[in-house]
Amino acid sequence: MPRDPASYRDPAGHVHLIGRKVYRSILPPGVEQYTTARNSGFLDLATRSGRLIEGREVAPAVLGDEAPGAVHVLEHPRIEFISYPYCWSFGGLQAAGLLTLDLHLDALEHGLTLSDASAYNVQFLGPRPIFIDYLSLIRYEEGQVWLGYRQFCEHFLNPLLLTAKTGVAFQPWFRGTLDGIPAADLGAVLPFRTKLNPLIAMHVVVQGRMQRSMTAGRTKAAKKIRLSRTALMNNLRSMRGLVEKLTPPSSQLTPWQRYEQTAHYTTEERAAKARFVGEVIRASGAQTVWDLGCNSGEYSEIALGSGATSVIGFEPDPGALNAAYQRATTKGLNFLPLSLDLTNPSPALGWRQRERMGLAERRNADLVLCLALLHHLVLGRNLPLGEVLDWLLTLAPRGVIEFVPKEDPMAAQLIIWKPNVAPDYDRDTVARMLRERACIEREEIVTASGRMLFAYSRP
Amino acid sequence: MRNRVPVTVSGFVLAVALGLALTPSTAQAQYLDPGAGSIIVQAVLAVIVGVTAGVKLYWGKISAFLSRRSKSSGVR
Repeated sequence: MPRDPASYRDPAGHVHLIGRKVYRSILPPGVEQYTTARNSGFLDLATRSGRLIEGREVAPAVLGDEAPGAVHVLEHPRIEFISYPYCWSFGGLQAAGLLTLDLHLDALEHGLTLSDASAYNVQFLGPRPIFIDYLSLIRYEEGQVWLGYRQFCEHFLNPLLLTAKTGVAFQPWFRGTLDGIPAADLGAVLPFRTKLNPLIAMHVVVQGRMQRSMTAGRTKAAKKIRLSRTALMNNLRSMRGLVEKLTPPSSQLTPWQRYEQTAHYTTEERAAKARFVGEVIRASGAQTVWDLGCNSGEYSEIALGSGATSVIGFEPDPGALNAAYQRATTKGLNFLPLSLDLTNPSPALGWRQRERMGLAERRNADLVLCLALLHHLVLGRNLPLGEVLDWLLTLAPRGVIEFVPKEDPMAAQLIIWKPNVAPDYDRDTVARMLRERACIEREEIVTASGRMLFAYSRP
Repeated sequence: MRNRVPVTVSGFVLAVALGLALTPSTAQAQYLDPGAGSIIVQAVLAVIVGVTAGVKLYWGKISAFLSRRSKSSGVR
């Protein structure tokens, strides 16, 4: 399906995926805005500064019958893993929101404005957000309001406020609505003292009420409102200040965030595990690694230090995820940690369930790390061992699995109330069942408690 | 950085905030419904942000003026 089903809404152009290449067609309704943006010099400037994805004009004939009316065609670099805001960490959504505001402020200096503020216009290269939608940039006309203000609140400001001010994770809610969190809904759950902040009161309480109490007369009046460019930029700077100051709540500081310090490894045992993982990755030549249950990203970092060029991490715990995102940004790692419960992964969603891809459709790993995770799935979540192994083998041709025995203190906690769960879960059975499905290339006991690592490849 | 924030707020925004006369907008909606209520909020926000920035900018001058006065009265 060459035309990306996520880009059907915009009449100005579409994204097309042909082979490994990504093209954007500019159709007649989008020609004026695109040439205005290009001739303003802003596109060059924004791509050079790394805020906007590169776009090289190519002959429209490359798309052939795909886009017969295309006036211009751009070729973009391919983003290896598409992620969605409902999987981003708090810091990721915040960085994407700040990028949107910064890009808009710069665009206004060049006589352009953003027509919307969709979080889906942003993708991630490692932990760094990048704006991908050229056709959101339109000519700015003096007096114009920001048509994307409401969307910015729903996609960025409100989810961040929800988590920062109530401690509730925004991701499940965002995944449910796909279009963020409406002001009135957020207003219903924000604590009263938060609403005493005049800016939050305006964005959340007043906006929520205004949206609910619109009449035909007020709508007509709103259509006539004009803002000076200075006032519009002041608003954007004010929102930038508000978004930038938000921090994840202290309630998200969980034991998992401190897992590295609390985990039951001695220094030697940890070194043995790191050496095993690093050597397997180096020997495999894996470029893209998925770190399942990545925690704060310790082994993602080891993977990157052992020859992998990019790591996507999946972690359901918000505190560990925040720590992982922080690790990626502060150390400049090509590592994108995402919020995901592997027993309920991100499904295909949106219009005809084709707008946002499920996790399985986005598989791109050469190797998966499944470290200190198997016991959570089998003992903690009661998933049959064979099913978990089958699933792991669908994800990537190679992998590393850590077996944690029931006697291990971390695993023992999981079964304290259900001692009879998974009677076949032991080292020999795991080894046998893995051998039935894959080729075990290396195995090693790494801790005194009997934790064991298996490196395998798909036959 | 704070000093760079321009303080001009169009008189029109003030007019909107006060519910006075309006002129037609040139804004061309794309495919997004901006929400009429949200547009009104933007206008009110512009007034609040503008006035706050104005006060912050001029506060330095006002306090400098006041401190000069109190200094000179101290000399006297």
